[in-house]
Amino acid sequence: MLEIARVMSNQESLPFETVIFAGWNGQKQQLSGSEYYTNNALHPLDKTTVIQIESIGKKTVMGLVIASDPINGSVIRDRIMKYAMDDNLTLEMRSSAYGVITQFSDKKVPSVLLTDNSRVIDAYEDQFDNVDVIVIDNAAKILATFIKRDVFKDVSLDYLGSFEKNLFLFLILGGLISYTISKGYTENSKLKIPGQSWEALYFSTPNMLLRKFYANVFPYLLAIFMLAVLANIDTDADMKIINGENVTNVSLYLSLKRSILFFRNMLDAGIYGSDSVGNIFKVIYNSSKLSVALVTVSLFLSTILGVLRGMYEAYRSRKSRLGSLGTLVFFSIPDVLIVLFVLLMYTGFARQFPALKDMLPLKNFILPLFTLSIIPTIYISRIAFIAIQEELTKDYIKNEKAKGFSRKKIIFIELLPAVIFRIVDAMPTIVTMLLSNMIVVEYLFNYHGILYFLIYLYNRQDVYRFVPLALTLGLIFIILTKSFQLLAKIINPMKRKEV
Amino acid sequence: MSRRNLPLILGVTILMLILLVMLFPDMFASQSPYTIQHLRFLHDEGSLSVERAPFSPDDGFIFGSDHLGRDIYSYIIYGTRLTISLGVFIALGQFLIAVPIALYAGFGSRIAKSIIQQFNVIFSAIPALLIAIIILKLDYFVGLEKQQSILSFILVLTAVSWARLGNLIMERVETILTQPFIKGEVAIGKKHFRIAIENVLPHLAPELIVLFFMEIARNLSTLMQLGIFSVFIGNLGLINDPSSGIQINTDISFEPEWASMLSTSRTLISIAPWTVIYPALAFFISVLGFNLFGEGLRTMMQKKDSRSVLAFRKIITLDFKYLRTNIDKKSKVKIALWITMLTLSIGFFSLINYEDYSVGYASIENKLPETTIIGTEAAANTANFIADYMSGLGIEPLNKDSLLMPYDIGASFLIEEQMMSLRLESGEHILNPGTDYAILTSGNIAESGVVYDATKDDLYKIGSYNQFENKFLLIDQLYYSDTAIQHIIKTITDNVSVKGVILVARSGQIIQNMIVDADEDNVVIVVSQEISQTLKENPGIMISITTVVKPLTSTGYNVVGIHHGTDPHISDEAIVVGMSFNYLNQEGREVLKFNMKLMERLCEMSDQKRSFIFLFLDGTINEKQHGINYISKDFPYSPQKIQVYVDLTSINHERFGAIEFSTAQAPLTRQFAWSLGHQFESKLNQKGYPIQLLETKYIDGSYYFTQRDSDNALFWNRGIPTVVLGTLKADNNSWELESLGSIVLEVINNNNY
Repeated sequence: MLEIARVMSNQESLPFETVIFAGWNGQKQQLSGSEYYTNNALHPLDKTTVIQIESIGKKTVMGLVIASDPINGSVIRDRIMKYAMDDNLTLEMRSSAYGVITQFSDKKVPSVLLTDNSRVIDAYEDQFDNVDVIVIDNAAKILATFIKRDVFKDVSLDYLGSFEKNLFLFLILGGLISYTISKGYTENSKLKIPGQSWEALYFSTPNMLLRKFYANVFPYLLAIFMLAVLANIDTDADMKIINGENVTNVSLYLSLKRSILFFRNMLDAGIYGSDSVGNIFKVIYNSSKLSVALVTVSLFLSTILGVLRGMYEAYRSRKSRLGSLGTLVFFSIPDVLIVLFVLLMYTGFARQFPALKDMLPLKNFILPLFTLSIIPTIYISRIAFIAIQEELTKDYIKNEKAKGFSRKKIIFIELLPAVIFRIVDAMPTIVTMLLSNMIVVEYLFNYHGILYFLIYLYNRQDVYRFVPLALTLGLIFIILTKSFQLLAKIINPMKRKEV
Repeated sequence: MSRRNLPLILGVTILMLILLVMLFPDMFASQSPYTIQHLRFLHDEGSLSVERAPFSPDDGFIFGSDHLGRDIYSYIIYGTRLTISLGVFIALGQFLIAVPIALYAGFGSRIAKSIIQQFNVIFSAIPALLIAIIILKLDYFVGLEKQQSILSFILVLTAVSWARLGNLIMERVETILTQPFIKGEVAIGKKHFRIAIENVLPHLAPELIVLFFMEIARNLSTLMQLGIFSVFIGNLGLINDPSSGIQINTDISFEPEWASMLSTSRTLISIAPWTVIYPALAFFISVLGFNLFGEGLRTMMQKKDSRSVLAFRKIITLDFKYLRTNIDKKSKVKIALWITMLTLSIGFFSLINYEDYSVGYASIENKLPETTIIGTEAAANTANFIADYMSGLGIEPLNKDSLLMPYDIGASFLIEEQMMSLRLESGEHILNPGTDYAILTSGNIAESGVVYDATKDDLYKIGSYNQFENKFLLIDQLYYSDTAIQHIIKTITDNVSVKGVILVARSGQIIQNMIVDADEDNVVIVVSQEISQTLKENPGIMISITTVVKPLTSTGYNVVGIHHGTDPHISDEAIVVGMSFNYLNQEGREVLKFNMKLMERLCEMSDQKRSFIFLFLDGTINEKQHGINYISKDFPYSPQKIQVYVDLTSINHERFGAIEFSTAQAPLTRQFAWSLGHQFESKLNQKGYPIQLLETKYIDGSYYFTQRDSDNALFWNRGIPTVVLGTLKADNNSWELESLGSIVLEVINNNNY
């Protein structure tokens, strides 16, 4: 404690918070020293946080423990814990407290206990030759990091390498330069600054490259970075009001640091080695294969069924609106309800025919596919139905009718291209819907696709695997929607003209 | 007659039903959604079987029960309000953000347009649902209070889903802006803002209204999906279980809400499908209702000669004159009919919905003595009065044939008068009994003498006893345990004659001595820490004490009775309500009247399927003779069957400034008690009572109330979970017993099916 006090007093700047060093007397007299302090505090207790250091340094122990009550002390405990983990120091966390800190936590003072990870304290072997300097050293390091970050509020980015520093500098400077040039260009394009006009500067190759970078590449980098930050926020992130102040156990410093380190290590394939889920490339490959298979087969199936159903409905019900009411009812069925019903039927089926259950790949593919396809099928049939109804009023159809084509032929053959155009146009929306519904389907059916793994990895705080997988999902989405847009242009002469 | 607009009619019917359920849930469900029943006993042809929750649907539970034994039907009915309003509020949030930005983008702002598009792409590529799950699963969001939790759900879900709506509206705005009449407005020099407000918005309004209802339906589906991932309002998440010290992970919700019921779907779908299917159906029906209504409105407005679009626009611009003159009679009659039906049904339900929770204790006849203190004749009379009153209510004795349960408090004395003074340089200084000091002795004494300050001596190793002779000995209790002090006093008085022992009170110790035991033959004085300071600062100070005591009878009376519940399955489960009947003044007498009336009202309440055990406890003024200590040693009812002990013995004031409250001894593992405590807490918070939590110490995984040992008796001796509710005086004593009583009645009644 004295050494920490010495180091703190040698700093150039003052700490942001007042630090009181106290040694308690009367430890063996019902903790009377600290009891007295809680009743006669030197500093208002409602503005106090206590770090109690006790029984530290015994040899042959398993490192250190940080303990606190689960309510008030947990925030500061979590923070100390996270800094220690960041420094690779062994520290175990406990949610129970005894001794001096209970006196403080009974008074609602946030308090933590830093002590040896030992069941036997105050034993006869507590002697000078039984002291392990490394343990004491670790304790000091743990406290020093906490004090540095939270008491002195030193959150400088000292972990940045020179390459990263230069990169940041480049990004900021480049942005500034590009912004100034375009501003100058729009306000007064002919004005000359040493030798060059704004216009010439604006249209120079470097500036054009810079602008292209900021318009097309930078947003994606930013999005990935935000994704990494999002994934780096701990799941136990919490904010509490303790003694009237908002305190949080999230260290923005650490989240940012981890995100930047993530970028540094992102391209280092070594870190993607085996873990609980195995090699990440394998995971990406396998899960994307499963998800893409599910999405494409489902799209294919629902398109065929949907078109047929829409056409049939349009053919059958010339005027009845009951059909559309039925569609609406179907359309209102939430995907969750469908999944639940299918699961329910499956469990009933599996109980009746246990042998069949093992033979068919029901739960592995057919049921998820079936469940996922119902809603798009209804959606597509509705589009087809509406498209036909609209097209039927058009002149060329009247012309065909006049030629003597049957209604059946008109609907099922002449109108097919029109229906297909509409459906291809709507495909990006359907893909969005499918991906969203796939979360529930993969989760409930235990289908190991991308979305299943995303939730799994997020729950495990595995940023290094989560982010690439999320990017893969985004990529799949973009490829699917773009290819449907391309398809629309290829097959639809009207769209081709627009290009 | 033209063809009926079937979707609209169906939609309106469903929505009206939902509205009624939201307003008057208790009309549709007779059982409280909060109540928890773990086990069920079934008698079948002479054999008894025990069943564990979840219970399958039958007469008792129409839709079955969930894994905690809560009635699913009532849970769905009571959950309607929260779930549907959440959907509506999220839709409102989406519109509040989407409409202005979309208008802005429609008028050509590139920033607004790119914001909409970027958001749209991001939340499509990585599904908004996934991001919502990630954010709302953070401990912070899970640990929020109900109101904050609702707000955060609205904010997060709005943020991730507004862009899709914004895109839709933006496209519509762009089409409207290309129309000739807008060009006309531009030509006459109207500003963009005015065009947006006066021309575009009214033009867009009917479509927005349709979209609004569709969005509500969509939001409900999203809430449902979130529920599957255990993301819902009021998730209790990680809970430290105080009875074992182990953290148990439970995704249960205390607030009735549909999404929470789906969180168990993964585990329960195969064993108890009803727990999941019914809430999912509830979602389906309401989603359908909103969709039908939206679709119906759209159809109505798309009719070729429809004037409803115009009417809508006029409603938006508040042009009622147009509405009066231009709507045909038939439509007016139709609208009037719908409105009358709605008002009538709301009126009807609100009339029969009224449950009276007033206590009205002023009506009790006043036959009570001025004071009632244990061991006096007045106390015995009061106990008999209460017992008669109980018999009148049909309350039966638990023990033998008498409601009175006498207990031996040993020979004791009532201190009628006491006086203590210090002789300071400034003159004789008389202290206040009860705050400065309390004298514990069983004899009439009048003594004076010098104080010896032994606070700095080691009293385990006394060198010479002579220094104490004929003096008052000052001992600080901080350094010695109670047993050590007994031992020290005995050693000293065995060796030397002292005038008395002065003990310095521990912090928080109550200085009080109404009644003393007969074996207290030494003179012991407890003084406050301030007085001890004066004594220490003036070495050799003279003090004088006098006491007048009166012997008491050695019998205390607890009045204990049971009011049997009506449900044959759970009537042997009991709720114990403990109240005090000792009092010192007029206010205390009013409190006793309140307690008796409260008991009467509890017996009259409509839901009384469980039994009530009423304890009127004697000796509540003094810790040592407190009736609860005696009854807890030999409780006349099986503790396993007692669901909760509601400790009202600390209600001591007719008008009070704060509530003393704690649910620390009603852990989650004792769910009935925990749920009751939780409801008390939220009800008290809702009414704005200032709450002061009882101080606790955490010992071996359970909480111990440090203020009064008697508060712990039933929990620590008998394992009966306890909820403590009392009153405190403060600067501003504006709260009244009557309103507190109605909370007690309402909460207990809600739980007693």
